[in-house]
Amino acid sequence: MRKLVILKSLIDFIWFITCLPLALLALVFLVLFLLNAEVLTLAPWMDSLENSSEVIAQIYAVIVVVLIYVGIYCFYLFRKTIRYFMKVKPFHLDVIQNFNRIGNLLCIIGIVGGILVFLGRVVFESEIKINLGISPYLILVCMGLFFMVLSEVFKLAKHAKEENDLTV
Amino acid sequence: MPIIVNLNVMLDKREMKSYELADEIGITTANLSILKTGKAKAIRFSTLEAICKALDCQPGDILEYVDV
Repeated sequence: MRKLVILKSLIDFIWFITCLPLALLALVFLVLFLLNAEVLTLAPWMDSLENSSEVIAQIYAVIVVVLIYVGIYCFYLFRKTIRYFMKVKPFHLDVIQNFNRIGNLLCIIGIVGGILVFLGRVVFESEIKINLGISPYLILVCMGLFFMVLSEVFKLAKHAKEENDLTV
Repeated sequence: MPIIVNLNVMLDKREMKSYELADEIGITTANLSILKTGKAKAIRFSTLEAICKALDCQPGDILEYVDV
């Protein structure tokens, strides 16, 4: 249980130090960017805004911010799931649903993020670059699949526990 | 489930209360209730043996297969 307490503390720390400020900053950035696209030139990953249309850049930024929010929501779900573990209810239906939801969302973030970066390079930097090695997007998809598998495992465990509880 | 538990019938025949049987065979009344209401997914041989001994009957008197 000590490991769980450490994990919970770390998750809480990341939630309050990173996730909440990030959510706020992303929103502020989006509002500023939608009002004035020049803000994006401050970002090091996109300094050739003059090559692309402002509207495309704005759509791009909206999708990036949405992905950030989805990522934060995944973290929120994970934090919620940890609370069930703290209450010693690991086979609750919410745990299974949360793991499955986290898995699906991480896969979506990984795939959409990968496509977005690829298209971003094409549109904003006019270059095609395919990374065949380990990339953060691939890791995100793997993590998503892992969470989905974990959800299936917990579903099996819940079934086994129910059967055990109903054995007289 | 096509397996019917006729524990109530046997308890009536032996004029025995549920809590008395539960006490005798050493299981909780909650578990006996699960068995009586047909919610049980499985029954241990040891429990069946204890019930048969307490009610002086055969497993077939308690369990019945009904084709649904």
